[in-house]
Order: sequence, then structure tokens, then C-alpha cells
Amino acid sequence: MPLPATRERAGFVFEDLYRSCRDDVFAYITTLLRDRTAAEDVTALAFERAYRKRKSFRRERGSERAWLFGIARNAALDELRRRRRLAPLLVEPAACGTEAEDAEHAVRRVAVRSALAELPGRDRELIALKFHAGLDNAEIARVLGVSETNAGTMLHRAIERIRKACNEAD
Amino acid sequence: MRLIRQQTIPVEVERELRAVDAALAGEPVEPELAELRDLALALRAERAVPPEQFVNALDARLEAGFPKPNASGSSKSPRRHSQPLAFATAAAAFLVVAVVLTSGPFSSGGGEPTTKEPVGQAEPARGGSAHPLAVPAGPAPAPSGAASLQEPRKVERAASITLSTPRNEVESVADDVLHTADRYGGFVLSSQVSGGDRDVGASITLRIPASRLQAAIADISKLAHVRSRSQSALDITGRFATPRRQLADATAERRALLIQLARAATANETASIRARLKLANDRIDAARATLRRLARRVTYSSVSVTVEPGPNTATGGSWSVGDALRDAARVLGVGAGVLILSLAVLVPISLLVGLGWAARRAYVRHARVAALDAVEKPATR
Repeated sequence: MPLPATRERAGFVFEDLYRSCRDDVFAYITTLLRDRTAAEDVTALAFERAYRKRKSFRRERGSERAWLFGIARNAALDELRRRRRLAPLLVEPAACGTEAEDAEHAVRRVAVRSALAELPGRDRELIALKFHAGLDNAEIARVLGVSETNAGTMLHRAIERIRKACNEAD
Repeated sequence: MRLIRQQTIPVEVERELRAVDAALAGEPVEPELAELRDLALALRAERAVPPEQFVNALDARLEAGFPKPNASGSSKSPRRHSQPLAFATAAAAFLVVAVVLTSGPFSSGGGEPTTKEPVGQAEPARGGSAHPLAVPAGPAPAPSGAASLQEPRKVERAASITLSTPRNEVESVADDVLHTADRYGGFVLSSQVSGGDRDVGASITLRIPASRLQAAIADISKLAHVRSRSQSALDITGRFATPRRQLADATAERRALLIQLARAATANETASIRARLKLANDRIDAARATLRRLARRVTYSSVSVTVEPGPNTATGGSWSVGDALRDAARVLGVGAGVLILSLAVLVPISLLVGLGWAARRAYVRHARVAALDAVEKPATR
């Protein structure tokens, strides 16, 4: 289907949404799956699903960004379910820092990465939505299906956990 | 959507969340929250960046409008396979329910059929088996018992015809029915013809020789529009057995009594034998009368003819506004009936499908969150 058809009656251009969210969706899914290869497949699947469902978008239910991340979330969780049935999840080794990287920063980075890996799945998802996908609290609430206040509280709790883990590591 | 519970967020929490937002936006943060700012920036630094090759491939798919992958494509959702299956299952269930409702014990059969199929009744002959319900007007069914081999089956036939004719022709059609009975050697058992403006109609019961029944019915059917017609055949061979046995017994007793009477010596003995003879004669007469009645039922068939005014001939054949209103009401009634029947089938099915859909959604949602919770500490590749 040619691109001009991506302009929607719902009031957004799919291509614009894609350009603005592509990297965020990938980052969010990668954090959730902890597998870059699988994240690529799931990201593509999420955009494909969003493209096919684009006419079902209703602005009164939230922003198109929140709608897209809802689809991405379902695709990622379906992938987790599928992997759970097939084999245990493997996490990719973290990339090494550059030689020029400050030693203190490197230690801090390792601590954060370790704390992130140790987080419960729900907390890690909140961190991914906030810090990797760049969603605001209202959008996070919409994606998770909770109130904005609730989303803020949950996010703060997740930050506290990772902060505590980092401090313990230090 | 999950239960949304509004609550106030603590001031300190709100302050820290604002600091996180400010740090992510590159804005200044209060000095005492510098650690939180550093954490936020460190977390964002962990953000994965998509490889260029993947980005280019995805861009190309967007340009192509995300063409559907081949059947072997890995991204093909299994849901797409399950949807046709679900529709097929729902359609099959609908058909099964519809068939069950429209036939068998649930069918009311309230409407009057235009033409009834021949329906017969049979009673099993003694020492034999029951015969098929519908017995044609031809030869009697083949006997099944040894005794029955000696004589043909005795079958009582009956027919019922409802004719429809314009109101002003009811009486003439009734007369034609009577003449038909005469023509075929039958007779009229009862006849009731009503005239006037209201309750116009005729109800006639004929006796027609069984051998000519079909020809008579064919002629009667030509007299007017046949609204319904039915025939029945009842095997009454077994009913002859009892009166025949009674007749044989009574005849033998009479013969014996006559011999005794010839040998009687006293007046008292003679009187006693004569009284017993009278009883035996009565029994013989009764048995013969029963046999005659049964034979008449076999020889002559009963034909009930009802002549009714046609539905759209109230004014002598012209179609009036009243007729149109009646027809419209009938059409609406039938339509409403069909609608109610359809709803009776569709509503339960829709409820079941809806419940199943809701249950599946709830299950999938639960399973997704469970999958998220299950991935706690993965092994390192």
C-alpha cells in the first residue's frame, strides 16, 4: 500500500508517528526483552500491527503515542510468553565502555545496568517506558491501563528500588 | 481497562518525579536531588539504539505499506488463523441450534400447511407386525402372519380435503361435492352448508367405495382451490378376529343346542334349551352386525370435505383495501415471528461468544503480565 494512504481520518499521519517513535519503541522493547535481535522482530511486528489497526485509533482514549506503545507492549509480552514456553530467556552481555570513559562513570554504569537487570519485570517495564521510551506519566498510565497518579506512584517505587540497588552496589 | 483508583500523590514523591522529568529534559535540578538526576541520566544512557540496518529495513517496509509476509513469515499472527476458525465454529453452532429449534420437539407447527402429506395410522394385526403408516390406495399391504396368508388385509381408508373458493360460490361447490359422491356410488353421511354474510362454509362427510376413492378425491380436488388434503390408511384386520370367533362359537353352540332340543324329553328341558338357543342367536346376530360394520369401514372410505371462502374473495373476487390491510398484517406478523425466532437463536449465541471473548481477553491480559513477572533473573548469554 503506498504511503499517501497512511494519512488517517483519526487525525495523525502514521509516518510521522513512526518517525517520532521508532527508536523509542525499539529501546522500550529491548529493555523488556533484553534481546536485541528479538527486539528488532517485535518492533517490526508492533509497527505492522499499528499500521493495520491505525483506523481503530480514537483520540479520546489517549494520544497516538500511548496507543502505539500499548500495541508494542502487547507484542513484547506475547513474545515473552512465547519464549517462556520455548526456552529460558537469555540476556545479552552489556557492551563495554570506551577506554576514555571515566572510571567512576564506568562503575556507575555497571551498577545501574546490574540493578536494572535485577529489577522485577513490572518495575523494569516502568523504567523502560519512562527513561528509554520517553513517555510522560500520563502516557505511561494509558499504556498500563492505570490512573496517572497510580502510574506516578509505581514509577517512583521502581526508581527507589533501582536507586537502592545502585547504592548497595556502590 | 483495569480499575482506576484515584489517590493523591505525596508531595515528596511528586517533587522527585518532577526532578526526574527536569533531568531528562536537560533542565536544572535542585542540588539535593543531584543524585536522582545522575541516576535518571544513567538510566537513559542505557537506552538501546536500533542498528542502522534494521532501521533501513523497517523504513523500507513502511514505504511499502507493511506488506503482508508470506505464509511462512515469522510475524504472521496466529490470531489471524484463529479468527476464521472462530467464525466457522460460531456459524456451525448457529446452524445446529437453528436445526434443533426448527425441527423436533421445539417445532410448534402452528401454521396450517397448504398440502398435507398422506398420513396413515396402523394397528398391528394379531400375530403380525405393524405396517407402514402411509398406505397407498392400491392393494393392501402384504400379510405377515400365517393366518393372514389366507385373506387380504383389511384396510380402512379416510381422506380429508379443505377447499377454498369465493364466498358466493361456496354453495355451488358444496353441491358439486354431493354430486361427485353420487357419481362414484357413494353416499352422504352428513352435510352442513352455511350461507349469508357471515360464517359462510360447508362441511360434508361422504362415504365413497374404497376402490374408487382416489378417482373421487381427484374429482373433488378439481372443484376449487385445494387448501389442504390428507389421507390415512388404518389396518383393521385384527379387529375382525374377535367377532369371527364369537360368531363361530355361537354357531357351534346353536348347533349343539338344536341337537339337544331334538332329544329333549320334558317340557322344562325343552324350555331351558329354547332360552339358551335365544341367547346363542343373539350372540350370532351381534357378531354378524359387528362384522358387517367392519366390512363397511373397509368397503367404504370416509371423505371429509370442508369448503371455505377464500381469504381474498370477500367481495366477490376483487382485492379490496381491507384485503390489502389483512395481507399487510399477515406479512408483518410473519416477519415479526421470523425476527423473534432469529433473536431467540442469535441472542444466546451472541452472549456465549461475548463471554468467551471477554474470558479470552482476561486470560491473555493475565498471561501477558504473568510473562512479564516470570522474567526475573535471566541467564547471561
